Amino acid sequence: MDTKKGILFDIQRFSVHDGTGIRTNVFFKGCPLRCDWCSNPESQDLRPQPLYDAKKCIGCGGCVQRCPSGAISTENGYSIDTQKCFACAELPCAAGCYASALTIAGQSYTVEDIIRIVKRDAVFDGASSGGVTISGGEAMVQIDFLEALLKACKEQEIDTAIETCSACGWDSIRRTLPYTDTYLCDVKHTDPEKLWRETGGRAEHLLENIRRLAENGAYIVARAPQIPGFNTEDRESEDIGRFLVSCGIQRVEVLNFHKLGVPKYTKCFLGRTPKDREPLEPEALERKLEIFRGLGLVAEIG
Amino acid sequence: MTHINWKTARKKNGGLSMKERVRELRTKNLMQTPEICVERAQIVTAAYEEYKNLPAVLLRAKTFEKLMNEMTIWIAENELIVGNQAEVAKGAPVFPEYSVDWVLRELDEFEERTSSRFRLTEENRAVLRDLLPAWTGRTTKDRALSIIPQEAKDAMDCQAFLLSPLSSGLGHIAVNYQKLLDFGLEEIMNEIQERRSHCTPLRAGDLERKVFYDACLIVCGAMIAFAERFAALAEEQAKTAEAARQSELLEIARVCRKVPRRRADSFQEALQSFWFLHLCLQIDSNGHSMSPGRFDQYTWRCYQHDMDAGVSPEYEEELLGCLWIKFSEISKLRDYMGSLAFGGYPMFQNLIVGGQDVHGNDATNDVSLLCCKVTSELKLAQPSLSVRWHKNSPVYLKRAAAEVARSGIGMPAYFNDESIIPVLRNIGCSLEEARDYCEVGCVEPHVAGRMEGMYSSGFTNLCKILEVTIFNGEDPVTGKTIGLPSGDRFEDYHDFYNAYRRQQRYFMDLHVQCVSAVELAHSTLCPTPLVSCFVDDCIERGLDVRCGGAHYNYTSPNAVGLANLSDSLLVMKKKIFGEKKYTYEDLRRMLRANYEGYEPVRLEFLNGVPKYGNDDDEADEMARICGEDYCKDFKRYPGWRGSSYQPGLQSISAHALFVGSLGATPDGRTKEMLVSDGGVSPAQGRDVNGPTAEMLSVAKLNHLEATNGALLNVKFHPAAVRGEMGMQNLIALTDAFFRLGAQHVQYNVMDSETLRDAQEHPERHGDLIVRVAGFSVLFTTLDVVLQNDIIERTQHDCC
Repeated sequence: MDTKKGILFDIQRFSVHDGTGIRTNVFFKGCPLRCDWCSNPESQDLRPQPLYDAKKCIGCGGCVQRCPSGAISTENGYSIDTQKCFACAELPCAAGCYASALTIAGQSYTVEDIIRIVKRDAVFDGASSGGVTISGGEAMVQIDFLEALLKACKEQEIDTAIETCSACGWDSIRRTLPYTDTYLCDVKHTDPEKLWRETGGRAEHLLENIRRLAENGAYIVARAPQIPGFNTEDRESEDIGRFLVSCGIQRVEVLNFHKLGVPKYTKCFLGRTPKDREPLEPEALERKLEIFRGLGLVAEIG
Repeated sequence: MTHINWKTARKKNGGLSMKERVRELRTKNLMQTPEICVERAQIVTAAYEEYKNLPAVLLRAKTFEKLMNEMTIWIAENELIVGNQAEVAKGAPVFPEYSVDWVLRELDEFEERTSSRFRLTEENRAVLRDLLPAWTGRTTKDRALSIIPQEAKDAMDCQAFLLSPLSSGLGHIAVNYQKLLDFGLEEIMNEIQERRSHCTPLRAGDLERKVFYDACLIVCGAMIAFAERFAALAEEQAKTAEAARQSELLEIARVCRKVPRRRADSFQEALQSFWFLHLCLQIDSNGHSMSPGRFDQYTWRCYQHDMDAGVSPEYEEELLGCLWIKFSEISKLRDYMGSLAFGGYPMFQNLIVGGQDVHGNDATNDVSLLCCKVTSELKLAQPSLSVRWHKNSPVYLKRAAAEVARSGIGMPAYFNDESIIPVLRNIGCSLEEARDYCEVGCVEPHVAGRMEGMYSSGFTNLCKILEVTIFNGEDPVTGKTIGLPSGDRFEDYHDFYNAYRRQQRYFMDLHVQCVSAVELAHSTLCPTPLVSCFVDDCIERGLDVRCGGAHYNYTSPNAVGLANLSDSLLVMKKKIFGEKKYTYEDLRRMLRANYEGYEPVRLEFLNGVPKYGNDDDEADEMARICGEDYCKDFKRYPGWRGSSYQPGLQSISAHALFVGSLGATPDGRTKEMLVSDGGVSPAQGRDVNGPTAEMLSVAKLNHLEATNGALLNVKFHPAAVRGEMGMQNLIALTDAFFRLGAQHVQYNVMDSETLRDAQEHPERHGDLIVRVAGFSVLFTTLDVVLQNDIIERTQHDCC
C-alpha cells in the first residue's frame, strides 16, 4: 500500500461531539474488529467499496455500462457483485451518478489534501480550540499514513484527537504518542472472553493498550458505548468504570446505541444485518452516569 | 416615590407575583386571534370629509388628532404599560388612505386564506363594504399607479420585481426615541414654535414650512391628549379596583399625565413614553418595521434612576415583560400576496442591544441583558431582538444572546459592528453616527433619527431576470414579452452574462420608476409629520420626512434568489458554454419542459456542478460577482428625495411568493421548488459541508457593497448546540464568521421532527416560534409553502 496516501471514507467539517470545540473529523477506512453492531459497516474493509442508495436511484442504468468489470446488475433488482468489483481507481460507476445513488466509500487522500481541508476551518477552530479528530474505522490500521498526518498537523499547530478501539500492536500507538493531544478510547467490555467472541479483538490490545497509554501520560477520554445485550448490565458498567479508575483515567462519555447505521448494511451489499437492538431509555442512560460517577469518574452523555 | 410605595402595598395585599402577571398576559395574547378592526377607517373617513380643504400635511395631522381623541381606548386587566392600537388586542386597523382595492376584493377571504388569517365580523364587513368604495381613486396606491409606466406594470405582473410598499404606509424607520425620553413633547413643541416664529412672509417656502410646523404641533399635542385619556381611564378604573390593582392604576395614571408630555425619569415612565410614540407611529401610518432601535441605550438612564431609588431589578423585568406583550398586540392587515411575502403576522419591530457607543467603547448594560432574558423567557415573536457584536463585546452578553438562540425562537439576530460601521461610513455617515447604528426591520443598517432609508423599496426577482434573458425577453411562464430582446446566440459565457446584465439594468430602470412613483404619491398625499418630529433635520428645515427632510436619504431595494442565480450561471458557464455538452437550445427545451423527461440532466446540473455554500471557491466567486454587480448596478440611480440607492441582499420571505410565477432554472431547480431563502443563504439543501463551510462561502461575498444588509439563516439541530460546549461553539462560530467580515447571521435551533409534528398537529404547537428571515413568527400561522421551506433548509446536525 502507498503510505503517501491514506484511504478515507469521509471527512466531516463542523464536528462538535468528538473532542473540544469545532473540529474536522477524518474517517479512516479499515478496522480489525468485526462488531456486529458497527454503525459504519463501510469502514471495516480497507479497500474502497461501492454504496448504493435505492431511494435516490432514478434507474438510468448508467453505472451498469460504466463498470469495467461487469459487477453491477439490474436484473432481479439492483445488485453489485462485491467479488467482481475491483474498486478501480477511476471509480467510473459513481463518478457519473449525478443522482448520488451510487457512491464510493474509500477515497485516496494525501496528507496535504487533508491538511488543506482542515485548515479551511482554521478560523473557526482557533475561536473554539477545535482541531482535527481522526476517526474510523480504526486509524491504526493505516499507521504509516496516520503518523505522517498527525506529524503534519502538529507542524501546523493543529490540535489532534484520535478515536480508537486500540485493537493494534502497542508499537503503532507508541508512534502516535508524540503528536496526539487527546485519545478518545473505546472501552466496550472488560471480559476478554466476551470481547473476543463479540468483536474479534484481544483484551491484551483492547484493554492493555489503554493502560499503557495512561501510564505514558497520554490525555485520555474514555468512551463507553452502550450495546444492549452485550455490555449494558450494571455489573458490566461497574467493571468498565473500575478498569478506568485503575488506569487513572478521569473522564468517560457514555454513548447511547443508535440504529442510524443499519440501512448501510444493505447499501454496501454485505449480505448480513446486525441484530435488532433498541437504544437505551434516558433513565437507563442516566443510571450509567450514576454508576460511573459513583466510582469518582467525570461522566457525561457523549 | 409613589411607584415604590404601591409596590410594597401590593405585596401586603397579596397581589399577583411578577411572573404570574406576565405569564397570564402572555397566555391571553397567544390565545387571541387577529381580527380586523374598522373603527380607524370610520374615523379617518369622517376626518377626510371634515378637513378636505386642508393641505395634505395638515389634513394628516388633523386626522391623527381626531384618531387620538376618538378612538376606543382600553386598559387590560393587570397590564402595567398601556396604550392600544385597535378596539381589541391584535386588532388590525384599516388604512383606506393608502389603498382599498384589495380590501374590497378580499373582504370575504380574510378568514379563509392560507396565510395570516384575520377574523372579520359580518357587521364590520358591511361597514367596510359601505365605507371603502368612496376611497377608490384617492389612495396613494391609485396615485402611484397612475404614473407607473405600462412596461413596469407588465414586469410586476410577471413578478420580475415586487413593489412591496404599494398598498400601505411605508414604515421602516427607527426614530429618535431618545429625544422624546430626554426632553418630552412640550420641549419639542417649544423647539417647533421657535422655528415657526422665524418664518416670515418675505421668504420663499416659509408658508409651506409654517404649515408643516403647525402640523407637527398638532400631532404632538394630540399625543399628549391621548396619554391624558389613558390617565383618566386608569383613574376611573381605580375607583372600583381591588386595593393592589388600585395602586397600580393610580401609578399608571400618574405616569400617563407626566409622559410623553415631559422628560421620563423612572423606568416605567421611559417604557410608557416610548410605547406611546411607538404605538402612535403605527396608528398614524400603518408601516411595519417601525423599529425601537437602541432601546438599551436610551432607557438606561431611567433604569439607573430606579436602581438608585432602590427599585428591584425583578420589578424592572416585570415592566419589560409587560412591554413585550404590548409589542405582540400590534397587528397589520396585508393583502393575500403580502401575507405570503410576509408570512405569519410579522411586524419587524427590531430592538437592538449591545454594541459600541459613539466613542467606540462597549455599551452593553443591564438593560441589554434584561432584554435578552425577557425575550428567552417569554418566547414571543415580537419584538425582534437583535444583538450588536464587536471584538470587545463582553462574554456575558455573548452568553445571554446564545441562551436566547438556544431557546429556539430564531432570535437574536446577530450584527457585526466591525462590518456594519464601515458600511455606514461608506454611505456618508460620520464615525460617531456609524457607531451608533441600529437595525430597521430585518437587517437594514440605520442611524436612528437621522435617516430615511425607504427600506421598503421592493424586491428584485433575480431568477426571473435570468429566465427572461434565456428566453430573449419573453417570460416563458406567461408567454408575455416583458424584457429586452437580449439575443438567441451567444459567443461564450461572458457574452451571455453581459446580456444578463443589460436585462438586469432594464428591469432596474422600471423598478426605480415605480419606487419614485410610490414616493411621489406618499409625499403629496400622506406626509408624516409625526415621524418628522423625531427625525433630524425635518424640524430644522421645516420639511416632512417623506419630502426629503431627513439628514440622510437613501432608497434601498433588495435582491431575491442570489444563490439560484449564481448556481445557474455556473451551470451555464460549465455545461453549455464550457464543455458544450448541451446546446443553448437544449437548455431552453429542458427548462420549458420543467425538466420533465430530462431527470438525469437535471441531476447533472444539480449535483455535477459545484454549488454556492460549500466553501468552493469557484461557486462562491460566482455568487460574489452576481451580488456585487447587482448592488453596483442599482447604485447608479438617483432616488427620490435626493437620495442615493443602497441595495441589499435579503429576501425576507419574498422568495416564497415567487413560487409558481418562476419556471425551472438551470441550477436544476424545478418550477415547484422555492428559490433560496434569506438573501445570502445557499439554496435550500445544497450546502452539504456543514455550517463552517456555509459561513466561509457567505463571507466571501462583498459585504461592504451590500449597504442595505446581507441576511444569512443557519439552521441547527438542538443537539448541535447542547450543553456548555454547544454554547461555546455557537459563540465561537459567530465570532469567527464576523471576523471574516460578514454582516449578519441568525440561527434557527429546531429539529425537523418538531416542525413536521407542528404541521400535522398545529393545535399542539400554538406557541412554536421560528425564524423566517430577519424575523420570527408563530410557525402554525405560516402558509404551508413557507412551512415546508423552513423544514427543508439544510439542518446542521452534530457529527
